[in-house]
Amino acid sequence: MKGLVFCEFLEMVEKEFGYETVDHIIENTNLPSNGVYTSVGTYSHEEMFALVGQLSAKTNIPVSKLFYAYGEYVFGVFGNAYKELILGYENAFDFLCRVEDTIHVQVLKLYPEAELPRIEVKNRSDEFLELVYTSKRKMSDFAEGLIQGCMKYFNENASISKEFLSEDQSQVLFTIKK
Amino acid sequence: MSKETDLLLKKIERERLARKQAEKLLEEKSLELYESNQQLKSLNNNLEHLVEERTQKLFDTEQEYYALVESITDIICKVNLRGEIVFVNQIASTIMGQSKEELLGQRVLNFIPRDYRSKIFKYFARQFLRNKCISYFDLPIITGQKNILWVRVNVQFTEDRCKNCDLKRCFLAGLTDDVISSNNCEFNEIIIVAHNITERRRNELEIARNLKQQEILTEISVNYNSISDFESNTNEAVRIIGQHTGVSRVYLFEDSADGLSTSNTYEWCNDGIESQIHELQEIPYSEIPSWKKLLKEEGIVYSDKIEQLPEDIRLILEPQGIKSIIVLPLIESGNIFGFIGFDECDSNHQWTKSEIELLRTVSSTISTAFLRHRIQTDLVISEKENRGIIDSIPDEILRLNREGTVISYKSRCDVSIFEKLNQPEVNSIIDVLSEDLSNSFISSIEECIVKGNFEFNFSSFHHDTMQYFEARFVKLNSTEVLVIVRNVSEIKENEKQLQIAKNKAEQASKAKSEFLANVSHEIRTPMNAILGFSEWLHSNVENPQHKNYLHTIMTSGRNLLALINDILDLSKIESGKMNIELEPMQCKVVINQMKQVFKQKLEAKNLAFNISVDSSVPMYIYMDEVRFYQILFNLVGNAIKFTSKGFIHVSVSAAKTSDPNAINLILSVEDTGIGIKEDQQADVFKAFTQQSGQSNRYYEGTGLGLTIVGGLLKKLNGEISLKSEVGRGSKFTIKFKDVKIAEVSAEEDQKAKELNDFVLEPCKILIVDDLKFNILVLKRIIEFDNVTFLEAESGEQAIEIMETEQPDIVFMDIRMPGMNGYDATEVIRNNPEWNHIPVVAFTASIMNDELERIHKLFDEYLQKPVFRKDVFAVLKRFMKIKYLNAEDAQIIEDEVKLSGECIAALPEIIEGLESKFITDWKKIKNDLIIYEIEDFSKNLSDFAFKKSCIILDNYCKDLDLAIQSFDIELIEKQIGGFDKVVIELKTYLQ
Repeated sequence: MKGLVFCEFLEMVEKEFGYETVDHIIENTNLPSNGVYTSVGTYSHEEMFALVGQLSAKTNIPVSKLFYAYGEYVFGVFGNAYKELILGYENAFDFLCRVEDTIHVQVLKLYPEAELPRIEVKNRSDEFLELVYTSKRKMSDFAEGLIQGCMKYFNENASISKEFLSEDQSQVLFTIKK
Repeated sequence: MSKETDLLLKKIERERLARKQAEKLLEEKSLELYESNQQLKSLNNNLEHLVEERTQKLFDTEQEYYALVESITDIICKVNLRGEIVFVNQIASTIMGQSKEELLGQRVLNFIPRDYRSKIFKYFARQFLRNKCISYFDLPIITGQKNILWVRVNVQFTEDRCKNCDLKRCFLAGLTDDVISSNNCEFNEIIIVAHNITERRRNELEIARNLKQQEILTEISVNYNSISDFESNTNEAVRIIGQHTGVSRVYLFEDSADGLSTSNTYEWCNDGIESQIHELQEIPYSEIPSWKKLLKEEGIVYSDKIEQLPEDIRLILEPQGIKSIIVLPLIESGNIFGFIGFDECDSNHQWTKSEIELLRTVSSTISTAFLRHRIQTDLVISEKENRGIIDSIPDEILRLNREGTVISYKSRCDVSIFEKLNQPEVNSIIDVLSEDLSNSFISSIEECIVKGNFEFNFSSFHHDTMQYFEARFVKLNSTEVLVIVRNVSEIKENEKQLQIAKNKAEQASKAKSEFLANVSHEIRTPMNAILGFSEWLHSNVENPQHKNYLHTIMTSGRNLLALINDILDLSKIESGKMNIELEPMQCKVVINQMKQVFKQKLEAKNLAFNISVDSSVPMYIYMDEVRFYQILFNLVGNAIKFTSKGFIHVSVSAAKTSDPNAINLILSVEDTGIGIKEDQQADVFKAFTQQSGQSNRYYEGTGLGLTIVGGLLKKLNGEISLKSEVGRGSKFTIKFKDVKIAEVSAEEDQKAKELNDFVLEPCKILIVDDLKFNILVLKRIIEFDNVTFLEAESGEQAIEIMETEQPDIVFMDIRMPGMNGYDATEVIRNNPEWNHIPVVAFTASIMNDELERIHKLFDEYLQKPVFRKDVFAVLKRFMKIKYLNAEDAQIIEDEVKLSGECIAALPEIIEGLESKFITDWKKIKNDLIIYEIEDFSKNLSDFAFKKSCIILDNYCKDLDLAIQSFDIELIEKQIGGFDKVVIELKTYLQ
């Protein structure tokens, strides 16, 4: 997992809960990186789960909510960092439809070792979009946050419903309605 | 430290670590980047290099293609869709006679004759629509110099992807503007390759023309082979060639027999052309001298403009309206006998080379036809002549096939054995001749067909007389022969009469010789009395006149006797009674005898006598010794007779022949006598001839000597030659041809020497003979101490003896009363105890048919009278013998001189001599009457033989020799010595 995700996560934690909480979750989690992250580095996704788990324990906020919040937050960060990637899209659905074949392709060009989820478009109309998320990481909450962040980025309102297509939550159907 | 500070420090520391981590990462990344960059750079370099290389290669290939395009002999050009030339190779410029620059931009169709353009379009359109890449079209093109060239063209589109493109169709239809205005057509150029086939096309046309000419020639030749007559054939030939060439007039001229003038004999005129034949008769060549000269030297008179021809020819051609002309000679065996001409009155015809060649061939064909015509005419005449000859000869001529069928028959004979053939239903010799004769004819026909010719003679009864015929067969072909039969009865009769006359003449000649021989013998007997008494009287008469008369009688008598002897020999030779017996002879010994024989005469004349025998002469040769002696005696006798001083030289040598076992013996007798004139040399060999002027009185002789020599030489395969100079001497040279060398001579010589060099081991010899006398002879020959002789007088007696006493060898007479030699020997052969004993036949006469039986039954045979060497050879072969050394051999030889048997019988012999022979001797010794002496000699000889007395025998031989040679002196000497012989014999009594 890219260091940028860790950096932005710790930034968000510091912003929301202060550096003390950041220090707390780093100090109380067994991390191979000792909590030192740089945006250009790559770290195990286990560390993310550990940090989120530690934060949830400290703040009493469920992990899923934390991932959701982080997803929403980080899309804004990505939107600023990689404006040129989003610039060509007129609305959120257009963008979401091209995540798999454009965004992820570009990401893999930069980070060939990145392990990305598959985002398939199942159905689409102007008001309605069905996406199928598939990933071994089972981070559908993070994905939901990202979708929410995207809607926000394009200043659109939509309801996002989630349906697990597999028991281990590795495959999830998102239904987005404007 | 406050809690915040602590946190801050921690944060700063983490950020510092993160920064360091980031820096490290960045550094790694930038290093990676750097390396990637380097790699990229080198890749880029490689790429540039590759591009450069490929570009160069492309350039090279382009150059190659360019060179190829430029070196090819075909025109290659590219044409754009407007039909304008955009590329053209150098050869095109050469072929078209225009520079590249001039060609570029021109429309390609401008080079093609208008009427070909649409054809070409249609053709290639068809080919392209079938998607054929390569297809050719032959078409003419116009060069810059307005010449027409023929080319074979192939057209290709540069881009094949729009195969089915409609635009292509448009283009092919000639709608080029539509194509150009359309911008999505992918082809924009057409490649045209054109191969220059002008030369080939010309050749093809030439071949076609030649074929046509061939047809014309064939037509003319075939025309001549048709059955029509020669004249109409020739007219037809002239027409054919005239129509083919399309000239105004064709004509043949034939020269007069003297070759001085010429006449038009055949003519063909094209439509609207006037005939000239009647005006052109007997034109003298003197009017047109150039004509014959040109025909002879150039072999042609030719001009497409007659103004160019010599004046004399022009003057004769112009009035006929001729504008161009070609004339060729008609030639037979190298001589011009006329000509064939072609006139053109309408235009100046330019004759091509091949046309001229055609005319030449036509002229030669017509010449040949003329020749053939002439030969045929000659043949007909010759046939007529031959027929006349055949009709007039008296022979009968038949043409027959293998079966004897008569195909034709011709006879001028009044009487013929083939008469029957004149009957219509008879057509085979089988029906005409007898069975035997017709079979002979059939087999002769077969023989003739194999050999080519054959002859046979036959006779046949015809009208009750025997007629003789000669039949000559000549092969005509593989199944037929010509038979020429000639009646030769008359010739045969003449020959027969001639043969009878010849036989009569020969008989008369033989009778003459026989008469002469008989007369000579009868004369000899009275001559003995005349000579003998004359001599006696001569020595007893005192009166000198009487003595002189007697001397004359004696000399005349001797001469007469010599003449008679010679005549006898000559008549023997002439009547063919002279037999030649070739036996091994020692040449040297015979020659040496001459010296002895002529000793007295040589001494009396004081002549030297030299003998030289070349080492090449073999020791023994097969020769008739008596005749050789006679020849030598005559030659030497002559030499002595005609030589008064100097020497006689006899030499003999041998020359090799092709047969290694034979030589040519060369004998020469040279003297220093009177010599013989050159013009008389040839006569010396004729009978009864002596040199003219030769004093008969001085040089006595019959003149028959050399004639006898000549006759003998004929018998002995010899020839004689003479070299002589008057006053200097003569040299007679004799060459005996192919004289056989006696090969066994050395062996026999050795045997002769060895004769007495052995003795027999103790043995028993049985001699069987009904005549006691014969047994005695054999016993006298086999005289060894150790031998026991058994004697039998018949076959029965011999078998009887053998039952008690076994001999080691048997000598068996054949003809005996009772059991003969064959029967007795068969008994011996059939007895196993005896059959190992050698039995030698011992007989006087053997018929040829008996020889085989003798060889089968006997081990060997001896012929009576037996010679010691033969008997000894038999003994050596079958008996155990012991060889002696030289001294012992000598002793035996001495002893043998008078055999033991003889010594034993000596008292009896001496008594016989004294009681009978001495008395007789005393009576005759002084009278010297030859026949008395002959009788005495004969009786004594018989006595000597019976008594096996060698001394007496030798005496008789010497005496006989003297009598035979009528040498009175020698006879006197010999007969006078008889008492001494008796005395000698008496010495052996001791």
